[in-house]
Amino acid sequence: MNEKSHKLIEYSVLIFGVVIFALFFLFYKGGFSGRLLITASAGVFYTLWGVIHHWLEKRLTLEIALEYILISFFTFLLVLISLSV
Amino acid sequence: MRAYPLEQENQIQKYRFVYHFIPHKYHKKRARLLSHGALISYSLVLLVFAVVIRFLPIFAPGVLGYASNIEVNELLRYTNERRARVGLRPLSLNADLTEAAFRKANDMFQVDYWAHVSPTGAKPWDFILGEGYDYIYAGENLAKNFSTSEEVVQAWYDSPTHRENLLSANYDDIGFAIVNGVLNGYETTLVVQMFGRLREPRQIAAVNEISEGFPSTQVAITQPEPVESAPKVEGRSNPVLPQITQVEQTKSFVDVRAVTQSITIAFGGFVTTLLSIDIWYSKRHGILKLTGHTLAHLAFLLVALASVMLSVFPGTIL
Repeated sequence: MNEKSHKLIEYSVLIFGVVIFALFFLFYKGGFSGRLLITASAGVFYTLWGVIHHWLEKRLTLEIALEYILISFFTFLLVLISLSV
Repeated sequence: MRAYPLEQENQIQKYRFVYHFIPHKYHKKRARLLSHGALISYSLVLLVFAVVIRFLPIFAPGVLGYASNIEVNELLRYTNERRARVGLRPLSLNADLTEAAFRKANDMFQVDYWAHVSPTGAKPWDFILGEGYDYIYAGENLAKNFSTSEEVVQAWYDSPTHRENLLSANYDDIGFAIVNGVLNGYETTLVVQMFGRLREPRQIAAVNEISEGFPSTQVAITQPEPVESAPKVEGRSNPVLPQITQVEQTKSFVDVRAVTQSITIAFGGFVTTLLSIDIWYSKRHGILKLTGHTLAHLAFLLVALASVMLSVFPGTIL
């Protein structure tokens, strides 16, 4: 499998995962905690995707991993605040 | 010829203000305002804000609230307007259903849940039957944290399951409750809409019985505060709300919804704009950075923001 196909698969996994989490979030009929759990899971999924993607590209560093964690955490906090109303 | 040695020039470039917003060509890093330190700072500010809106209602009740302008008369009018559009007869405001709606709203605040069925197993029908409304058909719509009556009814109308209740020919009566309180630790405005048709229709004399005996000021059971005006009610000659005592109307200092929206839009919008600039500028100047994927960050953030905007603004229905 060439590099292009690898990237296509990796990005498809990301898009598919994010869309699935978004749909779960939008159609979830439960309360605040359930939605927060979905957001936290999406954050974990995104961080793992980032780490695995960069590891496969052989350019994973601690800084890059931290970057994905920070973006996920920042997004989680935005959702947390929005759900508080 | 250079004015400064290369190293010194790079140092000057490094501290140029513009690099707070655009990636650095030589250092191959993102804008300073997208650095790890910046992201940690934004997260800390958001965390402090989240803690404040979570605990302020406990220590200083009434400081946070909603500038909501929801009234029973308007909810009834918009509901019946939408029914009229499809040729259905208007629903009549019923005292028993109104009281059942109040009890349901107060139960949600007291037991602290947001659902049709309470954690103790109480269903909407229990509240309706508890008020002596012996129904053949009944239904319930819930909403929270909307600003206007029209937004509430429109949200129900836009949702197929809620519209089914709104536009059902099976109902004759309706009851509303608009109650403020603390739910899940957050200031919340709940709207409960209950529908019904009596198993045995009332006598004509009873149906015509109209009372204006509802309290016109805000009422509450401990935390919850119904923000009810004085609608005309069919059903009971003297609809009273047992256990509900009148309290002074409390005006909140801060509209928590407006503040929350502003914070989300400000922080989310700022970071997504910087990420977009990063993609555009890096592509234009061929800057290859040893960082994570900016496009992936942007996509993740945008999807999350869009999802949250679609699901919680202008309010939530159930």
